[in-house]
Amino acid sequence: MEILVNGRAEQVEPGTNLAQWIAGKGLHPQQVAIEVNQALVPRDQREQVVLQPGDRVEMVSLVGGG
Amino acid sequence: MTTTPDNRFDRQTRFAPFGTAGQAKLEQASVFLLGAGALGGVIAQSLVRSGVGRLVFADRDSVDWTNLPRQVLFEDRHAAASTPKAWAALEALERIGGPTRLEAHATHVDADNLVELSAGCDVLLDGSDNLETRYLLNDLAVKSDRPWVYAGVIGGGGLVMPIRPNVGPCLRCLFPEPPPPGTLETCDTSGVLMPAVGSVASLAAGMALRLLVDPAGTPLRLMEIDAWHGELRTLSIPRHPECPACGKRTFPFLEAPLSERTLTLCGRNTVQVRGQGVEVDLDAMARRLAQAASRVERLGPLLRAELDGHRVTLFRDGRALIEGTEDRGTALAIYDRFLA
Ligand SMILES: [Zn+2]
Repeated sequence: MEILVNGRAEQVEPGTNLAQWIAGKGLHPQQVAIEVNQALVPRDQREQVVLQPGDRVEMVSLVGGG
Repeated sequence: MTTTPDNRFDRQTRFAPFGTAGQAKLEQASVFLLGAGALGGVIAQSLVRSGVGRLVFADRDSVDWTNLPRQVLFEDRHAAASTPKAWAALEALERIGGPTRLEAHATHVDADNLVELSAGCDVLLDGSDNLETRYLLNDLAVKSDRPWVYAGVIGGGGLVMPIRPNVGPCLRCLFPEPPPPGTLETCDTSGVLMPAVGSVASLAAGMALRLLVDPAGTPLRLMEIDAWHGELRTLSIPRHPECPACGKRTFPFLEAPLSERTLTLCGRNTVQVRGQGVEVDLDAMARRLAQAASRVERLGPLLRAELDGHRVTLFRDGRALIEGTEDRGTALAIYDRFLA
C-alpha cells in the first residue's frame, strides 16, 4: 500500500506500525519527530499507530551540526 | 538622496513590518549567541549589520583551514595562526561598525557558566555544533522564560525553530531526549555546504529579529530548509503536556554537575570525559568516525581513534580518554563534536 512521506509516495507493508516503520529506516526512535495526518504522534504511542493507505506522514530528524 | 551614518538603517526601516519602531527595539536589545563558527558567524553578522544593541557570544574552538569554506567571519591568516574563533569573530564584527556593543568570550560554555554569560540577554541563539549544548540552551530558555532559536545544519540543509517557552513548543516537546551518542550524523562525518549554513543561519537570524521586534507575531514552527534539493517544509507542532522541560519543568542539562563531566589525569596529559549514562554502539561509532578520524581501531570493549590530532579511547559506557591535552574545554570540544 502507498503512503505519502514528506510529500513523496512510499510503499509500506499493510499492518506496519509507526515504530516498526521508523526502525525499518534505520532511525533511532529518539532522533525523529513524526506527524501522521497533521497530528504529532508521541514516541510512546507509535506502536499503536498502524499506517493506513494514503496516510500523510511528515518526519523530521533532529540535526546536531552547526 | 545623500547617505550619512544617520541613515545607515534606512532600507530596513522602510520595510514596514520592521519599521523605525523595530529598529528602536533592536537597538535596545541584548542577545546571547553560543558559537561563532558556521551558523554563529552568519547569525552574528546578520544581527550586527542590523544594528542589535548588544551581542554577547562565546566559542571554545580555534579557526582551522576546514572552517574557511563556510565560516564567514574568518580568513586564511586566522587558520594559519589557529586564532581562537571568539577573537577572530570579534575582529571581523568590529570592522563592520555600527552601534552594536560586542562582548566575546573564548571559552567552553556549559551549565557552570552559561547562566552568567547570558545574564541580561533577551534572546538566546544557537550557533553550536552539538546536541548537548542545544538541550542545555533549551533548559536555560525554558527555566528563565526567555525565547531562543534552535538551528542545526548538516549536508545541504537543516532545521530552524524559534521557541517561546510556555507559549509554543520547546525543543523537548518534539525531541524529549537526545538520541544516544553516535546516532546523528555530524558535519565532521557527513559534510556540510556553505549555502546550507547560509540558509539555515539566515532563517534563524530572521526569527531572532522577529522575536526581538514582534514576539507575538513570530511563527512558532519547526522549519526545514534544504539548499541542495531546493525544498522547504514547516511543521506546526503543539506543545507536549508531558514535556520534561516546559511541561514538567525539569532541567537536567542545566542542573547536571557538568563540571564533573571531566577529570584531568595529572601527569598523563590526558582528560577523561564521562559518558552520559547511555550505552554506545561502538561498531556504529567506528563506522561513523571512519570519515573524520585519521585512524580508527575497534579493540574488544573499546574504540581507538585519532581525532583532531588527539588519541582518543572510547569505552562502551560512553567514557572517553582524550590524550594530548590537560584542558577540559579542548577535551569536551572533541568529545561533543565527534563522540556525542
Ligand atoms: Zn516543551
